[in-house]
Amino acid sequence: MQKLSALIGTWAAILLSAQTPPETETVIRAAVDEHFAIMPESWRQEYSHRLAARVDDPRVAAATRARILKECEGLIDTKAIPLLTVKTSLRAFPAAAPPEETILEGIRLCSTEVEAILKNAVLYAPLSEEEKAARRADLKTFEREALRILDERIVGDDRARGIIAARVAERFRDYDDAIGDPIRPFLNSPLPPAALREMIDDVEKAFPKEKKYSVTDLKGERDADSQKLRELGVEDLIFGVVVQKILAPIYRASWADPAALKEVLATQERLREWQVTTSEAIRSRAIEQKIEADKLRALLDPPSRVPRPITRANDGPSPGSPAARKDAPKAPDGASSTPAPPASRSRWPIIAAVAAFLVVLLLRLLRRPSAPPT
Amino acid sequence: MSATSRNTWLVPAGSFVIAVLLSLLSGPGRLAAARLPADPTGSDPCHAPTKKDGENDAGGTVDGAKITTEAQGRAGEFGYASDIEWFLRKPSGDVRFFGGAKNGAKGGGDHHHKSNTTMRGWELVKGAKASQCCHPATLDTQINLSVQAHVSVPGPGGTNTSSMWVSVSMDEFADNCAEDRPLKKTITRTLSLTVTRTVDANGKLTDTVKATDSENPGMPNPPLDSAGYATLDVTLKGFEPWFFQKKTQMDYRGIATIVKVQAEKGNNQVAEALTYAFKPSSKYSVADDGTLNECKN
Repeated sequence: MQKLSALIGTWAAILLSAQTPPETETVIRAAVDEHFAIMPESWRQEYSHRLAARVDDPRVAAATRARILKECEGLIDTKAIPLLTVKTSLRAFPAAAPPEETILEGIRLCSTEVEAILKNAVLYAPLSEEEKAARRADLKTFEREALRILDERIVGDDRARGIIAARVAERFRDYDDAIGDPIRPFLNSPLPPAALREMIDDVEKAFPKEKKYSVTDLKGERDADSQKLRELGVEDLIFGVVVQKILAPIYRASWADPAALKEVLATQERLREWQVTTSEAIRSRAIEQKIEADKLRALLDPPSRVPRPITRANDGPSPGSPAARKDAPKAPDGASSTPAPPASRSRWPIIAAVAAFLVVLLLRLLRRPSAPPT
Repeated sequence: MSATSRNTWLVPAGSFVIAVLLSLLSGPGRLAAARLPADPTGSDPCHAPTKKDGENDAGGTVDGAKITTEAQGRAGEFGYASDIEWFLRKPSGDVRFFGGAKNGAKGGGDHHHKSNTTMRGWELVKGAKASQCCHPATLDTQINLSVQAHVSVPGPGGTNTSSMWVSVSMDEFADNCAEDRPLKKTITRTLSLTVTRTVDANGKLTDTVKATDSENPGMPNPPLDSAGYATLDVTLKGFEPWFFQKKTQMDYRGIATIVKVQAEKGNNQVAEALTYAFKPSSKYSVADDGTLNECKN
């Protein structure tokens, strides 16, 4: 009977798996093709296949697998962000592109980080609601401790303390839904009993109780208060206590595979170096190219000279000249919005006509024969 | 009448002749220098503004809900819960594009870009004689471009990012009545800005700010202030001394793109991108004898 049930179970599993489309590799491949398009087709296929094999491992819990598949595209997208800075630089200076191998190196680093995260993610079993509630209670304890520590270091009224407490609560609230997440692990397993004490000791050491932060002039407006808290150094204090000394250690402790975490940290460091080196190489090359282009332009295209306009003999006064424009717009103060031309320029045709008449008259007088002397 | 009395006529007559000569020396070269309109509404009997091809629309989505007006877009910038992408195009050429992501959302993409074209300039009015309208002028273009990123600090293992670019190009066309040759010139400028803030598993915050300017490859990256804002403003400048009689025209095109905005989960987590092509105070203008005639659309 037992053998029969096992046989039925096996057949049911085979049938179920046959009904499930080979979605894992398809989903992963789509994301890989989008973000790592520059890599050779064979590499993308092999990489997608490898990741799919990890996710489809029968030891991976169904809920974990489903969650990974759901977030797979987002994970690859996020981990490809270091490529963005290089991509935008290349858009501006395409001719300064580094060798293809350099770009491929960056993508390989991103793909290594993705794979290390998945290596860790597949190890998690989904948490029950009771377990999640227990972890939330743990998190609440950490929040209370963080508030106590900050409260001891703040000098201010109840209003200031309330605003700071709200900021701290915000930081912790972000993790309510993150508990048990396989991709970005957080409290997926219970922390060791001594963890809280160790973290608090570390905080006390890093932020001595004797150093006080005076908080005044908070108005209850988020932006203005944020600015004030930054100026007073309280934002840095909150970040140091809550993020660096409490949330980060919890995050590290939540990794099921410490080797994978080590690999992620090492890869991130190498990616940062790659980003800086590659961006600097593009920048230097673009500067050189710009200098060369400017030199060439100066040789080929000397500064244009401004010639005088051709004055035609039959040109009359321009209908557009200021003197001809009776409807010239006036400035608000009543003055013409175009500068008034010199008087000699507008009157010169009249002067010329009068002068010509006088010259003719003079010539006629000079030519008139004078009377003989008597 | 004595010879001496007759010769006295020569004094005033000679004075007039000298006055005429001086007048001729100082003035006649400017006979043809008709002024451009002080405003582009067409009051100049010699030249009229060319038609403008602008746009006047706005649109996008705020938390998935479609918006169609500028007011909705601006209100959305203050009130969105998850994601927003909206654009604004005005007949002035103003192209503005805002993208924002909060609480685990992401937006943007190279396919989301908005462009605008507008044609401005002056042409000879009907009936005016081209030979009388040769303007010594300078085409003066100053278009302001701007990009701004706002990115908050994520939690451990998180990354928030904002990436955008904006590009503007100006085609200048004019005939040169003094030299009988056309001006055809294109000036372009492209800006990009990418800001990424990452907190690793050790709680170490790494800010990466990378800006590019097509005209200035050596430009330093703008600082990221304590509130998480980085801004880059530049001006595309074009200055052409020229003579035109029939037509000068400037075709403007601006493209704004939000490449990516992505924020980790959390309502206080935000990644926003704001791009401007033809930011307010930009102008196309023609300077004639020191008079600046701006195109005010």
